[in-house]
Amino acid sequence: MLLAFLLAATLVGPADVESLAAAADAVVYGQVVRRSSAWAPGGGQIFTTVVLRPIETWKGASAGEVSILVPGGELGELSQTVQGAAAFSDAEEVVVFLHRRAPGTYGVERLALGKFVVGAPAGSLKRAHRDRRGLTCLRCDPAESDDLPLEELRARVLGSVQR
Amino acid sequence: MSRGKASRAALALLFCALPAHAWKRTYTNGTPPMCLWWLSRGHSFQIDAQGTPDAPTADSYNAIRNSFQTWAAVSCSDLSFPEESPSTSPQARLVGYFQGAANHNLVLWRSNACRDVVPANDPCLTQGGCSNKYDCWDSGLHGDSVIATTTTTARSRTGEILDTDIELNDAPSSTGSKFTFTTVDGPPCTTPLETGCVRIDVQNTVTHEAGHSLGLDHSPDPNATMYDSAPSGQTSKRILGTDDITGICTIYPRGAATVTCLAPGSSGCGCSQGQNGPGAALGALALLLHIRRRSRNRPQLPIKSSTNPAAASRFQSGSEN
Repeated sequence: MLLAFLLAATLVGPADVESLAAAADAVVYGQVVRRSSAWAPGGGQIFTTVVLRPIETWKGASAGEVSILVPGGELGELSQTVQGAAAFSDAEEVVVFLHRRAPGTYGVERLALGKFVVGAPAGSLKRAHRDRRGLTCLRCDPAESDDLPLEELRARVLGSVQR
Repeated sequence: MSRGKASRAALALLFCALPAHAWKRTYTNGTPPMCLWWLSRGHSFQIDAQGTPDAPTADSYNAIRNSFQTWAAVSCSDLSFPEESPSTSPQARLVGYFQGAANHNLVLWRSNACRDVVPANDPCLTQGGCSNKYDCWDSGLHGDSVIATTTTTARSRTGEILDTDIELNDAPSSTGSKFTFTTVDGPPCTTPLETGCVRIDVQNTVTHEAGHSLGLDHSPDPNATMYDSAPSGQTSKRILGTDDITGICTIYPRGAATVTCLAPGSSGCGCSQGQNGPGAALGALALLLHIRRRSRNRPQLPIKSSTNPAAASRFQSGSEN
């Protein structure tokens, strides 16, 4: 069995919520409903299509489902991973900042910095968290929020979009 | 390092109690997760001859060579990175692992943006693969703000790395601007038109990416080349930190077996049998000998683009045009 990795990515910030919202074509709070991986035409690289069912659309046109193309994935005995890129799990609840690739298909803005996982410790309100592992960020502000209440994230995105 | 400290460090390594270090390894995402490593000591690399228009060809080539040479120069390890002749074939500008084919560990700049060259109805927009098909930087996949990515292929059952490719983003963004790669020694640029200063330093970037290609993950040590953040104009990652050296010598100890392992939490001490074995022991001893020969603070001499004799001799004998 083989694994292929995009081990690292270097990018330029900032990657604060407002910058991401301004750069994104769409911002969606939703849940992963299915994933499928396939070789790219020509081989060499595996890509995974993640289908998201929106719970709320904070920017962009609402749709019943949103397809997100991410590099990497598992295929038979082969697997390919992009460290630093957004990775998704089944049934995961997420907020994603997306840019449009084709009608109905998006990529994640600024790799993993464009994805927040939504969860709630028992008895607590939902929070949104993102993972910077695998990323080297130039000009990112150390004060950029990587863990914040979902309500705050929603308010900041909507506030940024309205401006 | 005092004798007492050295002894304690040796014991820590010999008994696989490694959490005191800052450096980290990269793991497969299989079950169990395996750390990544090369069966050979290092790997060959190949520079794509297209280069970047931002810097003189010889300088950018040498910056890449020096990046690998920096890792090869660590005396407590025995890594080497033989260089293949620069690739001049446009058809060879392919990233990824191709089973049954000759794979090269390629370093290349992508100078076209996929948004500018990929037809709107091309299946690669929904299935992936635009970058290889159209030789372009897929900003629709990563975003315009990504400077570089490294693609490495490994066997998930063992973590053995098979192939690694580094792509650098030399393509115009949606606003028409692009990253400017530099190879000079100087202060960080402060204005858009300033010259003779550092913007995106090739050697700084590739040295970091090369560390990933060896199986190192980001380190929380801000003095490490493998630290996960960098200001614009940075060149300090050209030089390995003590943490980087400790990491690479633990994984690839000079004269001893490469240390393989499981991800922390996958076994009792976070290490495979291999990491408890003689390779780890010899690695620990080699590391100690190395550390005792070095000063405390960032002891490795910088390898400047124009002063690395190993790189210079390879360049003179190479076929790059």
